[in-house]
Amino acid sequence: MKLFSTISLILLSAIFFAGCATQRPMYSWGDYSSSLYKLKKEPNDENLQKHKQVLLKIMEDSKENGLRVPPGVYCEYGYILMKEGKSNEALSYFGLEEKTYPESAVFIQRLKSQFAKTKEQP
Amino acid sequence: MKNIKLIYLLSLLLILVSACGPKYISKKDAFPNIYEERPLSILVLPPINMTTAADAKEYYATTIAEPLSFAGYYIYPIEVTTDILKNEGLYDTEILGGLPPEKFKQFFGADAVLYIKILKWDTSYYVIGGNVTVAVDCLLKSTTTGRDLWKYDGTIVVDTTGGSGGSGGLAGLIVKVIATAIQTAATDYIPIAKQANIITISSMPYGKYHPNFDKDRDVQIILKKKPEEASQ
Repeated sequence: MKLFSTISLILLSAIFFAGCATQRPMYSWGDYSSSLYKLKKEPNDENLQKHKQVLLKIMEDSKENGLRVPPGVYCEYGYILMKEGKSNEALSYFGLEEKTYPESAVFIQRLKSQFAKTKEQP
Repeated sequence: MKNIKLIYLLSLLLILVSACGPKYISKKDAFPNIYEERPLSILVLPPINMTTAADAKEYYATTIAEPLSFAGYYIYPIEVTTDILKNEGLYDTEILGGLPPEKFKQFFGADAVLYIKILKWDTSYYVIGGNVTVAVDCLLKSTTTGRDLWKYDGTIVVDTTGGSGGSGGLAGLIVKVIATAIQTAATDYIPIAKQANIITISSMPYGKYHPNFDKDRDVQIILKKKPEEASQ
């Protein structure tokens, strides 16, 4: 009896996981489009902070669900930090983008060099 | 005798109907260049808005990355790339459209560049609902060879009523995917723009991050069907 219930449990979980595998989305984009649109329509600090929160949430949700962070999200977050003068943090997010998507290397190098230029200016 | 006549009439009708139906073509026959070049990264240029709807450009620019990423491509963050191009003095979309595609390879390392023209963004309301008619002209060009890799040119009608039902086939599937998103107020055009974008790129061959990458060569698509009705 015990063996039977074990087998059925295994079967059940197999069905469950198989179901998950087919349903699993590639990325979790959260409210990205909505918060970005609001920010573009009304570029104020409140909307910028909201968009930053959305970007952070995408990273958290992706991590939680074992998904790759969608392309550009690390970079966009890093770019906002760069504009806010949080240079070290910005660079680490640029690094994460490049690590996750090696094809972004040329672009990330350009960002980093642009960043170095702005830093030289007083 | 009566039966033969009926059969004759039916077969005539069948021929007529099949001739009127949409023409199917496989993805590899429609877009052979993309299967040869296999681009991975796509740079989306700011859309050129040729409509009188001032917001159409922003709606498009903020909703295109998501469906493109789901198609399996690396998409550069449009906010950042647009800003960088601006810093280089390239903020005029017309000037950007005139640059040789190779420039974007040097500049960003992009394999392909996507040009979007919004030709129509009309909203209409009637007593029980409304719809948005979107017409776009999209062209994906290789930054290595300058060849056209993929294109879409069509009109999409998105029903904003949010009722039940939905058309079958590919559009039906797409509608299911965003069924939850569309159930919002008619004034929120983000889900509508998203839906229009999903339909627009549905004929695009999958990129390397998609599980069906390179397995979609024989998938049948409809190239010309105007307007594409995405009833929800």
